[in-house]
Amino acid sequence: MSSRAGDVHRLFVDPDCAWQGVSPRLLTLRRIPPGAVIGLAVLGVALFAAFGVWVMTGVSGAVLAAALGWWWWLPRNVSAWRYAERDDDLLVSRGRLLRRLTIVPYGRMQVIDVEAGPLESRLGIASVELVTASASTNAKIPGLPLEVAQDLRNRLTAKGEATAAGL
Amino acid sequence: MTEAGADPEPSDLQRLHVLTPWLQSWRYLLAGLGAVVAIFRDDVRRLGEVWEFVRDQPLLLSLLIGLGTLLLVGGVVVGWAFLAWRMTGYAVVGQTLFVRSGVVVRQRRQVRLNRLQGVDVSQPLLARLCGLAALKLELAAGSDATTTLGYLTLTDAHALRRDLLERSGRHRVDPHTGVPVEEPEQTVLTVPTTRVLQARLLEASLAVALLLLYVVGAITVVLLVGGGFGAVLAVLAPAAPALLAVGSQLVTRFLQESNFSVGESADGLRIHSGLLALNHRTVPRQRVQGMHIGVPLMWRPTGWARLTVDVAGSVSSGSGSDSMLPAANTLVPVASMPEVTALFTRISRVRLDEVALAPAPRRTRWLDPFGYGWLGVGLTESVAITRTGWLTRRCAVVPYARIQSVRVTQGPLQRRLALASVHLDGAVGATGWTAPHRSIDDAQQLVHLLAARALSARHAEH
Repeated sequence: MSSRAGDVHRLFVDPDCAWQGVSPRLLTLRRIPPGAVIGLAVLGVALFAAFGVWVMTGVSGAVLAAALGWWWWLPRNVSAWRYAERDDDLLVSRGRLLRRLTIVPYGRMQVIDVEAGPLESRLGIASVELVTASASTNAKIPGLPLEVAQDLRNRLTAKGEATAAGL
Repeated sequence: MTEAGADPEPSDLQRLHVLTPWLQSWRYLLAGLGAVVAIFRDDVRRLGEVWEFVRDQPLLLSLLIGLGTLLLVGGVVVGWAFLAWRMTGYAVVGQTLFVRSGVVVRQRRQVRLNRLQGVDVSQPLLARLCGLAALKLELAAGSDATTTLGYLTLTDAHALRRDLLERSGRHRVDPHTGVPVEEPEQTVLTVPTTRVLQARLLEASLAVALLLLYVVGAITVVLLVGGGFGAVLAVLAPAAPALLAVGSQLVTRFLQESNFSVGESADGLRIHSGLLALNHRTVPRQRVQGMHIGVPLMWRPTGWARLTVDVAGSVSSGSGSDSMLPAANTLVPVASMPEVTALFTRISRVRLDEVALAPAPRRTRWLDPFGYGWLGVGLTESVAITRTGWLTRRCAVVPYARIQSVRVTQGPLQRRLALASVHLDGAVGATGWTAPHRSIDDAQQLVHLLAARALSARHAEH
């Protein structure tokens, strides 16, 4: 069980289930955009200050502050991603500000997508997404180590076949 | 029985009615004709002067050019239409319907009849004037859940419909004659056209009132400031598109929903509607993903309500020639509440008044000050019921067996008040089920109950 489960209501992280977190390498991936923005903003502040363009210095400073906030926020968001396999369904819990829990019965899974973009494969992680007949299901688990993702997919496929039911 | 892959010979294809290309693309033809007239407007206008200047040589020449072009364009159009008609055909072989079309890009389509859910005969206005009809084939949910085949003469369309239903094996067949039985239909509910009109006007009255308020206010302000007529126009101009939109929607919906009647037969609910274009639709019971009862604000004093159903695979949208059909999910555009609940009970076998709804906790008023008293959730043996909305009051019902996934969400404000919202996701075509602002313990109980019942309902079904 994750160490941060204590402060979340049991509605979203039921202590009776075996919750798995996602890889910390997801944090590395997610920190690339704010990192880039921070770099650019620092450059902007320095350049604009050097040339005395104070309005733009202020704007760059604000962007920098926002990006730093984003950077600070990410580990909290990433650590909130959890999933648990129960006998009949999969639970995916995520979000810190806006908390969400999705329950997908294995019998309703239509497709299980394992996806790894170029950056993700470099970091050795992949995302597993459960697709049901509904467009609003939204059960995606990002940032799983490759072998964990593959094992999960195989387990889910087996369980899905065992309890298959169409619409 | 022939395998699905065996393609019929081109000579075996049946042709559609020769007017088909014209009916399918009359808009483009009209536009083309308009363009020709616009380009050669001068030549056309001079037609009238031909008597006076008949000896004028250059005029005759230009007239001839104009006429020639018209003939040429007309010839091309007629030729194209003929070609399009020649190249389109269908054949029914075994359990497969083959449809071929396209002049430049050839399209082949195979419809597996064992996946056929229903065949409806529809008659858009122009087709109706020509005595023609199109067949709409509803397939089990998929990317192309509807195929339209048309146009045929009305008798041919009905004959083909019977043939297709017979071959699909989903239709009861008379044991003696081998002919599929037209399921007897019992009319359950008819909606008087005057009431549709009243309801539509009443619903639009709020928007119209707001627009009028804007118009009067704008004119007053402009006059007070001392602006002229031009200034009044400039202020009113933004209101025109809104007025047009409200008006055109009013007219379209009214045309779609006139002569509305709902019948019940063994293969599902039959919906008949339309003032100019006639439309018939069958809603198979097993494809109903959920139902909604809605009461718009302006209907409250009248006691009217509407009933919509979510049908798997059909997304309610009106575009192109289908804009004359009612929204795919309207079951009753307007009827009194007892009539609506009676029909609801008929379909779902659930008596709404016998279900005790648990209200949302009182602290919900901080988040939903006007609607919190209406919120409520109730679970029966087979369906989950929720009431939402404060202007338009809604009541949504989803059978447990149709639940694809269960979700809970909680925003920061909800967290402070220890509230959470529970959602049920249905298959494509479902429009959603939400129980907003449940107390957190209630939400937890609800989520696990719903997940468990979704599971057991599915097991019971298969």
